[in-house]
Amino acid sequence: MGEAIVITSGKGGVGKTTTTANIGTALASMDKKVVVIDGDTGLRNLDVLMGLENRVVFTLVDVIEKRCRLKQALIKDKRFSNLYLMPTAQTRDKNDVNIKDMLLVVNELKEEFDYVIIDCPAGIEQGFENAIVGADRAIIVVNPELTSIRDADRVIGKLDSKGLDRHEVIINRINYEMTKSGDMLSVDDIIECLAIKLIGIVPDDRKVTISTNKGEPIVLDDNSLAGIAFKNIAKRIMGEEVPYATLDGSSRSEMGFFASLKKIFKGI
Amino acid sequence: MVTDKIVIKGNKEGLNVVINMNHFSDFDDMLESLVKKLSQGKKFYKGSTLKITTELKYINEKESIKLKEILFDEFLISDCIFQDQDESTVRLFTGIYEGKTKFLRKTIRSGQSINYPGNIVIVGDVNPGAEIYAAGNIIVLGNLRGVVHAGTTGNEKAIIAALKLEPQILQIGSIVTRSPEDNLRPQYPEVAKIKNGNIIVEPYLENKYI
Repeated sequence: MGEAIVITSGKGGVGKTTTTANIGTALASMDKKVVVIDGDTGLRNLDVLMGLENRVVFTLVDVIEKRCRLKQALIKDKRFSNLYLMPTAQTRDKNDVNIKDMLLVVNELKEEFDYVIIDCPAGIEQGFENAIVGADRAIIVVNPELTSIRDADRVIGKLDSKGLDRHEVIINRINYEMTKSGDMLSVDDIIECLAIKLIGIVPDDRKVTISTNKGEPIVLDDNSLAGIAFKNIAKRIMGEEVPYATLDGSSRSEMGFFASLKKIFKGI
Repeated sequence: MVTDKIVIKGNKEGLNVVINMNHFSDFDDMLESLVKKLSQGKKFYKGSTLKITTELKYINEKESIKLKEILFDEFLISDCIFQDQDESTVRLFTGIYEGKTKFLRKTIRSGQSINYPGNIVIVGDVNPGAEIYAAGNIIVLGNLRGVVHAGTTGNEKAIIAALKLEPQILQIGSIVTRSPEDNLRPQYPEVAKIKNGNIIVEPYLENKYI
């Protein structure tokens, strides 16, 4: 039986779909059988990010409305034979999918795949409810901005109330220079505010925009900082212990007891 | 008529069964009437909390155990609380040293609201967008960044204290204030209270009595 992971945030535009595509691709590159589900009915984008937009025939809504079998709606990735996409309909809306149907689909996929990764839409309405229903754990994507953190906090509260208490946070688009100068919230500020476990830090990388437009997940680029960060996140999802890069070359695990003391005495 | 003797009310905490003992000849007479009344909606009471409000001087310990057993066995309730009718009138909190207290060991997140008719102690943070309402005092062992209202029933002696007091809106009794917009973060625990009709915030120092 596989594990279902929902990628959520509350706020739009923080990088949920990018994260879903990249984590899915990274896990597949590590020989895991993965399916990524686009939960954003009416505003699908996951197919574009994976370069599979021309291969969509049947969708999640077709499966739910019994117009096709589950396997017919799954699209095999161009690069990895163990990675599949379950697209959703573009001409329908969130209310055309209900919790019960979504749960059946996710549970069926969990029997066949190691990881089922669900791309959650923005907001906390029906689309959100559908996306989280079958999940075993949640990954919350935030940007180092107060608006994003406020919305993520609201989402964590909602997840807790639904009994989904296994959650971690990815801090996306962090800029080391701005953090250093105090113009951007630091990783520690965000973790202190959200009070949940960190699973990854993704630096701001212009290569992400290029890869998105090409329909090629950034994890395929070994020279990209963001790509390396997503690979590390995938390893952590699998249970590996990977130190967190602090974006200045050192790793967060190097911040030991004496380093902390030094920091205190320096008055930082 | 049975209806006048026993009244069942629903509230936030569960179901309140008000029994007027003066209308019954003895305990068994009351018990028979109560079982008869509750039997009308037997399924409805399953798993609920029943609060029995009556003059407890008319019921001895043996009888209260018997009553509880019947309620648990026949109606499958989850909990039974007895309250003396003489004490059931709601009293205002008049100071800061009394009343029941709710302890919460968690982060109160944006969109979450806590409302309690007593004191609230939170071992954790209150994040922006969260709301805390207490009839008594509010103590936060962490950052307080949400909306807080102590003394909701009119107690102006209530206090609000936190390790880092940075609320969006702070209210004690009927007096409201908000954080200054100087972006200065508190470096020490602080206490908010009313003095001469205004809310004042002062540092909480060791050996200092409120």
